[in-house]
Amino acid sequence: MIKIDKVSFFYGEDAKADNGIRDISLTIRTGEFVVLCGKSGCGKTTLTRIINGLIPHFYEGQLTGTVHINDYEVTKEPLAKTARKVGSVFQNPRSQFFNVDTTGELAFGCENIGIAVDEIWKRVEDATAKFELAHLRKRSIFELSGGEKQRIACASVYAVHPDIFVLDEPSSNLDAPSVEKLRQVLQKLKEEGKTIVISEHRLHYLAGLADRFIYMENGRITYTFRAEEMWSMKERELAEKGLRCLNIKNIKKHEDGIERLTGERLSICSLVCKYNGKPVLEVPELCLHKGEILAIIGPNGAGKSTFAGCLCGIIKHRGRFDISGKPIRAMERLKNSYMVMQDVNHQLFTESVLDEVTLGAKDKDAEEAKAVLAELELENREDSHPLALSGGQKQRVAIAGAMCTGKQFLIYDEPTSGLDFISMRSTCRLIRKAAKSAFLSAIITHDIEFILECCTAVLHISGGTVCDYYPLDEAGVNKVKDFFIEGLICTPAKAGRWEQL
Amino acid sequence: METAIVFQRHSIHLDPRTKFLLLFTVGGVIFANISRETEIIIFSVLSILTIFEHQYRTFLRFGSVFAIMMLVDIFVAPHLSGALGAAVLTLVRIPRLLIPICLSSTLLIRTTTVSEFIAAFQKIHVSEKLIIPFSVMFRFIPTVKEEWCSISNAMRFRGIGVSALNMLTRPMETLEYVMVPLLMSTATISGELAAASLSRGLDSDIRRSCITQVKLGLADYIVILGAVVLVAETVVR
Repeated sequence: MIKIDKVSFFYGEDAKADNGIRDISLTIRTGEFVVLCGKSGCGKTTLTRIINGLIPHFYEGQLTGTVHINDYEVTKEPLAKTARKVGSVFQNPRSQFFNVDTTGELAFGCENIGIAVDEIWKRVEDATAKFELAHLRKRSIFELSGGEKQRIACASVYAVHPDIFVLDEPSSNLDAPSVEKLRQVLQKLKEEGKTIVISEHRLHYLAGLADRFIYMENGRITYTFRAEEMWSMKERELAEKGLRCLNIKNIKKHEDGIERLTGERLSICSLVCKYNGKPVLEVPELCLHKGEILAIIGPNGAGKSTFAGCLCGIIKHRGRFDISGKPIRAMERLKNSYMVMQDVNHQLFTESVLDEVTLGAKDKDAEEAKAVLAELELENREDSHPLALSGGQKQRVAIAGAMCTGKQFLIYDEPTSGLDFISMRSTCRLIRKAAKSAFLSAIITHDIEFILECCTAVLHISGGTVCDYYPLDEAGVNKVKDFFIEGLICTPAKAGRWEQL
Repeated sequence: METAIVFQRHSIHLDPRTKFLLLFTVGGVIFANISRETEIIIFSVLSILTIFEHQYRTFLRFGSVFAIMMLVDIFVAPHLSGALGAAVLTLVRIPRLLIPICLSSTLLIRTTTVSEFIAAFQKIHVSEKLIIPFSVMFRFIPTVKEEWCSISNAMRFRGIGVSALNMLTRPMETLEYVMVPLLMSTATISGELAAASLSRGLDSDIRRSCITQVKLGLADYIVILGAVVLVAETVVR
């Protein structure tokens, strides 16, 4: 049993800061499955850190109140002791592995607490069998997809045999089949009677698992829902609370879609891209409409990023790209392209927002740049340092940069991973706005709600080739929903040989 | 034990300590004005070890560059004279000295797991306070590489890519554009990494166990002996 009693916590010295949690009292029974939900910045992550002891032992600040796991006081005991009782899985698969090889990672937690080598091997065997990870052993961490990494993370925590699992937005970087696999993992943990506390934006995959939902706002718990209360909640109420959908079937398509222009087209002919001598992407023929907002979907590692990279000319490839019969070479496309990366921090280089958006523009027109910034609600931020902005603002600065320089091909790499409903919607508005002046917007995404809110067509890539391309009309909407519901992996006859790679 | 054998994927797998010794020896000796023959011997030994560790691509990459530089040095350079001759000699000799160092550090990084690294240094009773930061650094090298790739891609989209032209015309600016995001993202990652490893008991005061058996074997002793002979020969000469 976890007993949190009148806990308040603020990062840093200042007790008035708005980045913490206030007056939280919560009891979680042994074997219970609790979901923490709420808008970004509501204190979900902070609460998970209270339970696994990272607060106050790693993140410093002002803490009051007590946290007990049975009779054990988390705030007083050393972190290494809590590590035996509470296993933690984090949001970012890139930064939670201490080892560079998977087998080492699976054993890592056990090694740290000095378990005998024979026993460790037994536990590693057991965990790999339980989570069906045998094929991932002895691999480099850097070769794995996000979904594979999250499963390794769960299994390596499991090997320590903790009673409590704390997961902080584990699905935010995962594709549909990986989310389903994660669900199966959680199911097994629940069946074994483990206590599970999960902070999450995506809720639909937790159906049948969650016992209780804790809704947080501004660092406080404002509602508690039993599972049946939650699942019967109306869409309107969910949207007001900034929560994501509970059931993919109920999502509605955004009505005022951008009209498909029938004029110019980008045609792609015999595109082949090789990596280390092996072909990883092959597109014999494809024709994309001007003004399209294209959702690129498909399983991790299917070639989505490679396709986007070829489209904007940054990856070496063979093949012809034509606009209305006029060839457009890779170098030319690269000059006219812009990619908004998953980690926006990778593309903020300068010392002020204004410098950032005019960087790389030939005739640096400050007035025009200011107009774009105003349009993106950044008008008072011209002189701020880009890295001092919030996550959403950084993303807007990056998109503003693309708009100012008049780029024609806009690529977004998972722009809505880990966003709540309200932030996701504002990203949608932004992408639609930017798309108006661009030839083509392409978005690599695993977020079905986002696709239906924002995109006009779907490009489905699987096994290194385009296996489907359809507009998001009524039939298209049902098709893409089915893909996400069933986690179907589309395999056309010719894609057979790719699977062996 | 069956599983442990499965994990021994290399036909000859050197101990991390041997690989460190190799790196330092090569680094020290190579700048001591050694003969061309010694240089070839050092490179060949490193190549053999690289092949034994199944790092064929690394071997081919370094081997071809080394071979070209050596062949130019032996066969082409003597026929050139004056400024051109000096330039060619500088180009093929000085960068060549770095190749064995790069090769031995690649060998170390590619074929050592973090777990082995920690176990090896625990065996010679290095303090945990030293081992943990070093193992984090070790873990960090591939991460920095990954970050670097996506940052340099982002720069190409803005027309400020890390190209020869930009490095020559505005080196400081280009460097700044790389360093700002690189430092920011590595700082975030290292913070998260530290939190993750502490939540899994890395700072426990119980003695760690280790699944990989780390032991000096015959191959290690041969390499160590070779290194000692090499150092002795260089010092005596």
